[in-house]
Amino acid sequence: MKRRGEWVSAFIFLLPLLFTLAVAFIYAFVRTVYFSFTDYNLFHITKFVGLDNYTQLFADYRFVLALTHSLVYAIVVTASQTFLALLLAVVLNQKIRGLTFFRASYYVPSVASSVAITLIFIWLMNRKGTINWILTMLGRYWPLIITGLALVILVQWFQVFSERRHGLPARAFDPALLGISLLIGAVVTTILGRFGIVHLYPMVDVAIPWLTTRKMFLGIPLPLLSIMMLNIWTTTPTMMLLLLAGLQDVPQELYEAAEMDGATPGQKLFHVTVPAIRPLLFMVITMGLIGTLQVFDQVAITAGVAPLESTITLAYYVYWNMFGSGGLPKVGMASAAALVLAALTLVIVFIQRRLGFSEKGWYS
Amino acid sequence: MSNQEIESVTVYKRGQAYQVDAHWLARRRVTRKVMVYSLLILLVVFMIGPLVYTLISSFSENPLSWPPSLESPRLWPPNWAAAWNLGVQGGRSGWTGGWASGGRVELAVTFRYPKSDTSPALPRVQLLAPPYESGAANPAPNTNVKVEEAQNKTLDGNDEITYNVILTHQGTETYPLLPMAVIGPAGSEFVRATLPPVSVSSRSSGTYLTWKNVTPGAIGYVFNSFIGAWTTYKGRGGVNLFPRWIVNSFMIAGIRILITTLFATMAAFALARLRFPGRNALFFFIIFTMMVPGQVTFISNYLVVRDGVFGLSHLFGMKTFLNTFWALFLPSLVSTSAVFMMKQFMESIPKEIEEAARIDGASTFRIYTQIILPLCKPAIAAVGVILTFQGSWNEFFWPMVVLTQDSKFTLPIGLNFFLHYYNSVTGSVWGMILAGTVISVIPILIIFILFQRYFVEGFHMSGIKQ
Repeated sequence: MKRRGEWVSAFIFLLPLLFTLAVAFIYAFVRTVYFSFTDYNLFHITKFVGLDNYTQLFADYRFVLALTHSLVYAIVVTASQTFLALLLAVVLNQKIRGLTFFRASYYVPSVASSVAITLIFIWLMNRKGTINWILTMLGRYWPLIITGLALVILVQWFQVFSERRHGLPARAFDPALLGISLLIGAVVTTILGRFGIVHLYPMVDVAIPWLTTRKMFLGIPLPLLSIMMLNIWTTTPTMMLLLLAGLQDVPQELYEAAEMDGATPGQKLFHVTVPAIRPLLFMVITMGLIGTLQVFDQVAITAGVAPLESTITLAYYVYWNMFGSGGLPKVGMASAAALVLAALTLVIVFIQRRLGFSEKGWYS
Repeated sequence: MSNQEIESVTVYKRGQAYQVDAHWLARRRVTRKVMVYSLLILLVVFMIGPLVYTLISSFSENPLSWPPSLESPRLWPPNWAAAWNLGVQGGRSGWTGGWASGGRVELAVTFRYPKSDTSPALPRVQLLAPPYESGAANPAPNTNVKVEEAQNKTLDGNDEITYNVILTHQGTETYPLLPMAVIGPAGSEFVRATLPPVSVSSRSSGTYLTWKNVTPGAIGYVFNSFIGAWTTYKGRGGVNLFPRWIVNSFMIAGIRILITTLFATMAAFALARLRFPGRNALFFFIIFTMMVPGQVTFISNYLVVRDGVFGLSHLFGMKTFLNTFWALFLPSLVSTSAVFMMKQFMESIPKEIEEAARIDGASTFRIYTQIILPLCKPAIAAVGVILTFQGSWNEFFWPMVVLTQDSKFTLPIGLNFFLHYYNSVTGSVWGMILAGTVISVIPILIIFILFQRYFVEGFHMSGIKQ
């Protein structure tokens, strides 16, 4: 059926959207590009400065810090959360009853506001906070923990060894044997602790200043690392649920066939599981990279306690140049940095396109 | 008998076939189930634990105590009764307490002393000034204090002496708080009191017990941190700003929901159902905008809002839209992610219904209002109402840019401001911040529990917007 004048009504229906896109997006984008070539500061007469902002940007140690922080943040967080999520999903891959309940609990931190979650973390990561207390306790109990772990490994190895000797296909992590090993480990460790054969380590109060420090750990500032941990904690379970849903569609026969062909657990993971959920995995990684590259909220909130140089990321650098530095807003610098951030995002999107993902794959 | 024989099953491991009995296999299946569920529950504890711990700690006097403790006297029911009784004795109310004309409060405090023949000196009582931020008047001038020995027991070679601290109100004023300290003589040890003090400290000059409020009333006692969050920060004219931030957040979310439901469905309808040149290009552009970080566009948007959206603000008699709620709606007048999700939903509606209506001569507008909108109710509920509420309630970046006046804050901005405003080193301030955090999480949590399904769908669909 031919409908004439349909585009007129379409235009009317699209008017609010087009207005928003035109003003808040296209106009804004063009202006940001324009500002990035000027020395605009919201007050004085604007002068065209060519590429000065960009050269200044790379001369500003804060920008270089922000750029490296953003990249490190994106890579570390995405890699850890994807790895952990995949690991959990593989372990949990079976029919789960009451999944609605579990899913709800795992989503709660993602549903709550970033401010609420970050405030809770700032509190937990206080010098006298609960995380330091847990570490203090670990420091006190580590002889017992190590003993327990060693016992479990020993008993498990012994059991697996004897089952195999009897011609049974026991795996290293055989669940039935592991249950027995855990039980024996726990009981023996308790007895050893009770009778003072294994001593507790003397109490040493751990007082790590997670956020209020310029110290580095593995080359990453400790406050940034804390924000990373917060982010990994929030998103891993939701990613795990996404991957789990994908894994449950992988036919069990594939694993059985692989087993018959003599595949090792690693081969099963990389030659059966990963290829089967590759589109999903890819989505999780791109999603993660884009989201983490743009991290702002957590950084802005911890900015109240942590030193700027230890947390600053690209998104926060943009904001900081506008409103945070206390001086006149450096609109040009902010714009140039924002465009660098946008470019990084687009590079990821471009790679994702090039590797050939249909729209369907993205949002399935 | 042959059916008693254990069934044998073939199992493959690394390409080798094994004969195992069925029980062997069944045992593994069951234990694996147990382990999977244990891990699931462990994860629940890991994800929900910090939030539950936050909730419990928001009732504690000092959430930064070392070692941390899950015990909070405010969550201990006998103390609720004591707080109620003291509130009633204070002359105002058993719920919210206060120190009013005609009040007479009896507080029993027990100290332990090493056994001796001479009876120890009576504890001293000091009425304290209410904390500066509360702005309350000092009740000390109108309060008479009397201390008498009520009971003397010998226990394990120590004397346990209970004193009654009797306070009588001799004026006519009403005070919201009655802060007090009782100082036992040196060498004494605090045992118990009608209402537990908020702090106990032993110094060479004696044992100091302090109460923030001797006449708290049940609610005033249990929800002390919450009342603190609610009332401590005041704006111009002494207005409590925390409740105003809640109202602001709800109001903004409400308007957002209306706007999104209307404009996003309109745009989605055109994209899903109408043919026009450049439709696909527009759709791809929408996806593109969803991936561009807000930091790229906020500079210009800030200026547009500051200048009143090309002077539009002058129509409302304002020079700028900064620090008004109008500013919040501009960049998200039409949320592109909502358009995207609505469009996906509308495409699932069979075309035939619409075609039939068209043959009957219905206009595009009528098809939108009378066919598409009613059929889209689930999508409107999910995307337009619930996800929009969540997005608006939690939004941080843009409100922080355009709202700088404390009376206009939304809840997340206000909470973030709390962290900066109170020097967040001391524990009791954290009680307040955590209480505020708990209050801010409750509405979104209730909605999440009621409409979990929609959230999960939304997460899956709008994955790229983290």
